Amino acid sequence: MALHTVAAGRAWVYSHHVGRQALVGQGFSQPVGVAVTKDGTLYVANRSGEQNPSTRITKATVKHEYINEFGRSGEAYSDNAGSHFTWLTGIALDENENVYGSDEWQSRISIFDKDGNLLKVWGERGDGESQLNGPAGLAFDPQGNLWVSNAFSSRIQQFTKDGKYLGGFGKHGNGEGELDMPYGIAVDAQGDVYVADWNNHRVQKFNPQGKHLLTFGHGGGGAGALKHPTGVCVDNDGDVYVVDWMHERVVIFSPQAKPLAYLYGDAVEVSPWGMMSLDANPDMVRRRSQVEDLVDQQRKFRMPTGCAFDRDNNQLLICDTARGRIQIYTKEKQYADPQRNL
Amino acid sequence: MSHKEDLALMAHLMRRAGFGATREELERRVAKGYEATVEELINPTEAQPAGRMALLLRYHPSFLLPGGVPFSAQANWMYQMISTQRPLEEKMALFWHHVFATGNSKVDNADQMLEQVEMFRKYGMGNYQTMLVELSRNPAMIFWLDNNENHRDAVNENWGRELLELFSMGVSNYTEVDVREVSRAFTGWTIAPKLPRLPYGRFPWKFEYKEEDHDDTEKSFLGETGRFNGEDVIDIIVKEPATARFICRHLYNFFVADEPQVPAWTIEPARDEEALEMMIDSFVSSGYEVKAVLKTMFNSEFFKKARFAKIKSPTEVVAGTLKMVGEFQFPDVGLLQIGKEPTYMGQSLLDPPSVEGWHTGSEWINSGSLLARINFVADRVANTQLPGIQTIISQMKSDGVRTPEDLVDASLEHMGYLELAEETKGQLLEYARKGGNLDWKNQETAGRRVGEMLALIGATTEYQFG
Repeated sequence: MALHTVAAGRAWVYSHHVGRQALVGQGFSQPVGVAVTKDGTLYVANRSGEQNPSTRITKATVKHEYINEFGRSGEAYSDNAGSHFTWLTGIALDENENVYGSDEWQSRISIFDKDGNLLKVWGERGDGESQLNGPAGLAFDPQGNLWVSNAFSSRIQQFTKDGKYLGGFGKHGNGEGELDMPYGIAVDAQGDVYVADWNNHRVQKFNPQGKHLLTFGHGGGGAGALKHPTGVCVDNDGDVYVVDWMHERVVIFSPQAKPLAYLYGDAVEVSPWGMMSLDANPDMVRRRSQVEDLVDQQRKFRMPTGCAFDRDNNQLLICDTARGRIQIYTKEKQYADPQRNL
Repeated sequence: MSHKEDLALMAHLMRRAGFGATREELERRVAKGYEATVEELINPTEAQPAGRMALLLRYHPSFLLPGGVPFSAQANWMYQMISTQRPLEEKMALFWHHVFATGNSKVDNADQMLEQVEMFRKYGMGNYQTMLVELSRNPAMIFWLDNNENHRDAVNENWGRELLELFSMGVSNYTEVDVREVSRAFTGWTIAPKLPRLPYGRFPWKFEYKEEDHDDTEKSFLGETGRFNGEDVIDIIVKEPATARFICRHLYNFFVADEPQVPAWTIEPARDEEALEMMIDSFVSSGYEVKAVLKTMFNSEFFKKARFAKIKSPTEVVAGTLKMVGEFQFPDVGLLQIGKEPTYMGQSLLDPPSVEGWHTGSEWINSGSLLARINFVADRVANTQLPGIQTIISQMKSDGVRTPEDLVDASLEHMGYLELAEETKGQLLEYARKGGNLDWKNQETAGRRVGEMLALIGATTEYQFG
């Protein structure tokens, strides 16, 4: 077990997790994206599935308080009202805590206020420079403009928050600076842009004008190997977190793209929402008590997807997608690793 | 053999050893040669398209760990059938699912059903003895046939009985005592308790051998005596002549021509005893290698002459049509529905009616299922927006298809070089003549007429055969 993952001068200490699998209310359904405010309010993008459509944005807190949910998938996929998602993927918050959700299928961005009221829907499908084609990742830059990664056009775009196109870059390919089905996106404090280059098994860093600056990870083996990375986020020190989806881990890189550490999931406890499921189902408790390696199985990420870094509270949040929960780590700089010979 | 005849034969091979092929693929395979294609199907070197499963799970993450209801798992498998680059490997997985029929109705863990299908992919063309050992260790099978309830001091005969009756030798080749002894040999073969579905979703089962629950005393089975464990019993089973005959008859029924239903095999003679003997020889002389039988079978004259001697299973109808029209090569919205389509035609994948599997052949057809088959095919082949149909229309245009006779002949070729009764063909011609010659200057109308003709062919009796 890890719980405390250490690299030179910093450590990531597992804090707790929020969630359980649920189609409604206190729980998540295939959470693929998460955004967090400095007071610990979570907005979770639940992708769900076609069998029991429960696509929605859940509003809750890191302290397990459920607040509400909105953007629930409609009865039919033909819904065009904008308040309903089909392939909800990315989620981001502006400075007013308005909530932005991307829909990769509908190629549009829906905006809600913090109570879940629909404010606006924008986006036109296409491969034109201002059009959306499979918008996946969303991130705001320090100026309050919204960056969007487009899976099907392999383009990265910058918009004002109400959808006015400001600029963009990117083309399909596997060369330096080229992209293949990009997924998550992040912007650091300097305004540089990080893109999870999903089908090229790497993360690329660009300046806001689209100049390639750095590449994190690679599709081979060994240190820093990535397989279909989905999420990316950056902390106050410039350390970069990459959700290594198919390897079911998070790879932490230094600002210079050196691999530092790996997280595999540490959900050793049962969350309060999870306990509600167990309290209501004594057979589940009995069966759990018979599982020999219960903790080791339970703690691990299962196809984790999105991530966010709470720069106000130094916390990393990982969408543990197939387990319906958000695992949370605190970054510490004063951490002293105990001696090995204890 | 004419080029057209080569293409027709290749279309036959690809329907049986896969889920059909487009004209372009048929041309490519004919250029390579029939026997070379058989070799490639049996020893697939083609890697699966990069990221194929990643794409499926990126856009349908809930298809990873489907639970009690099998729809997501059915869609997961259907997507793999229509997008695979290793068609025989996938078809063999379907074959073993027919034989080693396991149902989510009881297992209630569709992710574990998918894990079983993956095991069929891995071992399906390998050694049958190895496959039986893997099957005995497969968690979904252990739960399905209650071997987790088979204890040293309280024997449960369900798995032992079906292993002999339905998975190897067939009825009337063993005694009730043999059933008991096999079951005792498999005591202690169980599954470890797994994390339950609440609160974090599905966790995998793992095989567990509990030595303390295994009956290690002497057993007598089919004339041999010893302190047999499960593997020892399988060694004896595979050497039994009845086993080779049973498995080869299954292969013949699935790949060559419809046989009577399995329970009748003790009283009904094989449809082609000579063919069956050839297959049995390959199986036994190769040391029970499935690949060896497949090679003998696909290269044989009896296989080549068996065109349209089988009624297509619902899964073959759906997968073959989707491949033809080029739909869902990308895991679009609506994929879940595609996984359900065979159910409407009488074959709920991963949920067979019993451990005996599905009755095949003419039992696939009744008034309801026939209508479902025809409607499914017609809805798609008449849709001229679908990429595969657009390709067919373009090919007909470049091939100079013009007269009503051309239209019928070309449509039959694109539907798998289908052979029609004179009367049926006459009716199609009569319909085509009403529209006169195709006018390619009006591509939309010409395309629509092609789609209509394909849909009419899909509604014929002959099209139900593959």
